[in-house]
Amino acid sequence: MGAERAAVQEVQIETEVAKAPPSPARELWHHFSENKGAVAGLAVVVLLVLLAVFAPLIAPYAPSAQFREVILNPPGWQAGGSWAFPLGTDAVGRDILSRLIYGARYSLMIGGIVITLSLSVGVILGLVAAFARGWVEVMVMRVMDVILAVPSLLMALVIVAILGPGLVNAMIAVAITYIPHFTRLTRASAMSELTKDYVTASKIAGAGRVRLMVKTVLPNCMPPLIVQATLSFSTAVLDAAALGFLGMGAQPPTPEWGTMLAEAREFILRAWWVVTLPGLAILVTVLAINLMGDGLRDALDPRLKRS
Amino acid sequence: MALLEIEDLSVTFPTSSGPFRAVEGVDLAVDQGEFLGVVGESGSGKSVTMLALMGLLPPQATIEAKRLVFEGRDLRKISSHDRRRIVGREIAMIFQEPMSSLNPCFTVGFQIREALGKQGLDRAARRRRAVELLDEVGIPAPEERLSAFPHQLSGGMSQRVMIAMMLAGGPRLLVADEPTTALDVTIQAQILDLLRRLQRDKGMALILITHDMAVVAETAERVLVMYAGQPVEEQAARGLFARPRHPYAEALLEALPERGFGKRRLPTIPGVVPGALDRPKSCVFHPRCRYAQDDCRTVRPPFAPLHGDPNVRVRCFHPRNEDARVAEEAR
Amino acid sequence: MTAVYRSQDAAVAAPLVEARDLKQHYTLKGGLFGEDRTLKAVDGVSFTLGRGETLAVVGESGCGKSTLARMLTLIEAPTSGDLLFEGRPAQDAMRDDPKATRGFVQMIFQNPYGSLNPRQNVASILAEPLVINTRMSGDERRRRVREMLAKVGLRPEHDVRYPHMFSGGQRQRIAVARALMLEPRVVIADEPVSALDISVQAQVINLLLDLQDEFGLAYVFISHDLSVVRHLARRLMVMYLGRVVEEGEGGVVFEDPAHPYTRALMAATPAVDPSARKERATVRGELPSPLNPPPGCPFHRRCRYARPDCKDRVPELRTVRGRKVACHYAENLEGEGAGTLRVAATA
Repeated sequence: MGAERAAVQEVQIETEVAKAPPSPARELWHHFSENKGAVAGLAVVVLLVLLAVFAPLIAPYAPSAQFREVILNPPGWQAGGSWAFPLGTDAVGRDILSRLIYGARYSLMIGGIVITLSLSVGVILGLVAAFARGWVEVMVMRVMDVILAVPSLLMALVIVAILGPGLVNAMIAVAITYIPHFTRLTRASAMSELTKDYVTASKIAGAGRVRLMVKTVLPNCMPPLIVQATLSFSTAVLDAAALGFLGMGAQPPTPEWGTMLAEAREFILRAWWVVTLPGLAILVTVLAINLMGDGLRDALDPRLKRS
Repeated sequence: MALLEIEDLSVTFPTSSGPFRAVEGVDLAVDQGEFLGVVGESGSGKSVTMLALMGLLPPQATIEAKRLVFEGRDLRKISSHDRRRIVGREIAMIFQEPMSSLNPCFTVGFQIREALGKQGLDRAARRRRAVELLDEVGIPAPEERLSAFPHQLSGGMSQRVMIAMMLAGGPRLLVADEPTTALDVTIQAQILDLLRRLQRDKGMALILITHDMAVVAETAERVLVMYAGQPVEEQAARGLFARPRHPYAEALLEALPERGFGKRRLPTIPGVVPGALDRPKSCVFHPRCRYAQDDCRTVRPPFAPLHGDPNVRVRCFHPRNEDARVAEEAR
Repeated sequence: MTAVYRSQDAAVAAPLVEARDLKQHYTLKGGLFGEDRTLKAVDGVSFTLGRGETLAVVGESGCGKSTLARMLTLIEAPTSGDLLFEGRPAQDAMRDDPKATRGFVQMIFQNPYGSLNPRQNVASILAEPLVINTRMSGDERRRRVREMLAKVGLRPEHDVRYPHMFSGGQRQRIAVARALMLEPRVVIADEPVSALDISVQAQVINLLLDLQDEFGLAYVFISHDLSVVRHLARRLMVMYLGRVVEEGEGGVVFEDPAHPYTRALMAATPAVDPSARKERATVRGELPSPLNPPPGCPFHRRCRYARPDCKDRVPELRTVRGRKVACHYAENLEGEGAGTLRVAATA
């Protein structure tokens, strides 16, 4: 009885003094927002997403609408240009601004699908390797080493050559080349988490393998994976554009930025805007995502050390 | 004249929710060849105080002090070049994790020779000196150990090597920050013995920072108790453990299982140490203090000599164990 | 009481936990050219633990206490030896009825910063054992979690908070609460207070004592801190390099340690009142590696009473002056040790 009363007393005093610290999300934003470049990157990414989502409302024309009378029209601010086509037109008279806006849809979709594919497969393989150990682990990791040993674009080209050209196959090919990064990262952080006491505590509570993997260990491996996924997003956009440029990715007339570049190759000297603008779009997107990813890493890393 | 004098030292860190005073109002003097223990729980500021003295705090920390004098030299005014010559040579420091204090890439011998630095010694003499130092800290077969890498040493051995490296500069003051916390009990006893012997033999002053009351009781001559960034009590070790004057020191000693023998439940201090932002402006201990009165809740007590005795200083308006004093005086 | 372990043959007289000659040997692969080596982490430990009792296991790093904890919590099966829960082989019980067996023994860890999953809130940490081992409804689980939080001295409404929002002592309370969720009979506590500050340490010790009274828990209390052990445990088992060197009633062992290692440990433990201690001498030498233990008595190289034949014969546990001790010369030690003590005291 007396003991109980004493315990109750302690409760009250303890909670009086202990104030709730800021929530994890707010703390993350606090660290993220300290990095001006990252915030700028985030702003650009948000803008791109908005452009992609509302492309039909924003773009002045349909992406494949051809205006035969204004072929290779220069941008609005240049002599001979017209503000009806602010960024000019291409060799078959399509509005470049509209194509770029619709192209954002493709780029973001490619990035999103590639990352989802490679992240999910990579995480599963990494967790399996970390938990199974023995020959399963050796096999998984050696296959990953083989994939890593081949230059990723070459690997993607080979896979596309086997599957046949096209946007979907290009995405699958790029996704495969990214799997090893996620697998290795997941395995490494899962293995270090596995030595911690809270995992042992879950084992004593009777948690099975799947529960340990998914509920106990995986959430603690997420921060480095999120960072890697963000950074890979931009390389995926770049790789898909490269495949498109080589004619192995999205096929014309798809307004995919890499494909647009490829189509414009022959006008590189005559009409700079046809080549430069899609290139610039790729550059800005990749740069913005990278900046955001760096900020995210800096914001997540100290948390990793603290927790 | 004291070897080290610190007066009204405070350390402030900027945080996302405003500046945080990790340490304030630290008054401290260490004489030559003295063994001072600094005790406190985590967050009491005992390590930050010493790191501030050593100039080892991150650059965003602001250090203020009325006096910060080592051997008559004002540490606040000297150049960082001169400071580096004092710190590491004349004031040395060892840490809790001996394993991570040594560089894993280099042999023990190399690191000790490095610590010996340019003392006008040639190669052979430096090697001889390194062997001497290892022998001095009780490492068996010192010649063979010179070529060992840190990972080949146990925790106790690594701590001995760290101590040898610190001795290389012939320090006048050694600061030991939880030097035995990571070690096993029997090894801890060996290291404490070693520190005590070195302090006596070399006439070196030693500041031992620890959370362990018993370790201080075994070693130190004088003890400074810190709580929530402030010193709350300072007196001779014997006096502190027999007759603590600050309610916090008294409560801390009562909470030890060693003192609680015979009782089933141990006396506890209610509540928790105040966090960075909710330290009271008045006496920092009053929310947890059994004897707190109105003045404790409004005014911060000074860290002052008790009844004019400069050897006992307490930050409290209502010091404990006064009866014993009266009884003593009556006698 | 959904997850209570039921003894089958109702061997009422059987102790709660009985360990008979438990051994845990690990084989370390020697690589391409080296030979495989055997690490005898625990090498023959026997004890019994009754209802509501506390058995303290004392020793330094490499003595096998953590391996013992892993065997007692059934994370690892012993290489050899028997572990009986209420007279029934624990491994069998685990195979036949894992849910009930898990509810029999639970564990508290040393470091409250590592033992709570940082990505789960308190409610889901505490509910996990219930989710896995019972069929309680979500509401029932929430009620239990809140009750348990109140019992360990935390606010029930804090169940939505994450571990990093609590202090070290509060986290250890959460860890204690988790261990009690399945209403175990035995709790293995692996250095539960050594990572805590003194004032918090006293709070957690009191909590453990209160909960023992309330639930009739039996503790296996693993610690290196003799003053804490002395306060908490009635019985004491001292381990060195995987073997038990002395075992007996706390009062007997503390008053008159019979094994030289126990003496050394007591001499090395710092005390606030050093005058209360009998011996001052520091034990020499390093802790040997369990991979390469000395022959004969494992302690002989550091023992100040060692005689030539100590390195040839392994001492067995035998009863000397009311406790078990593994030393060839435990009887003769007495006179000699006391003699040196008296000399030291007069000097």
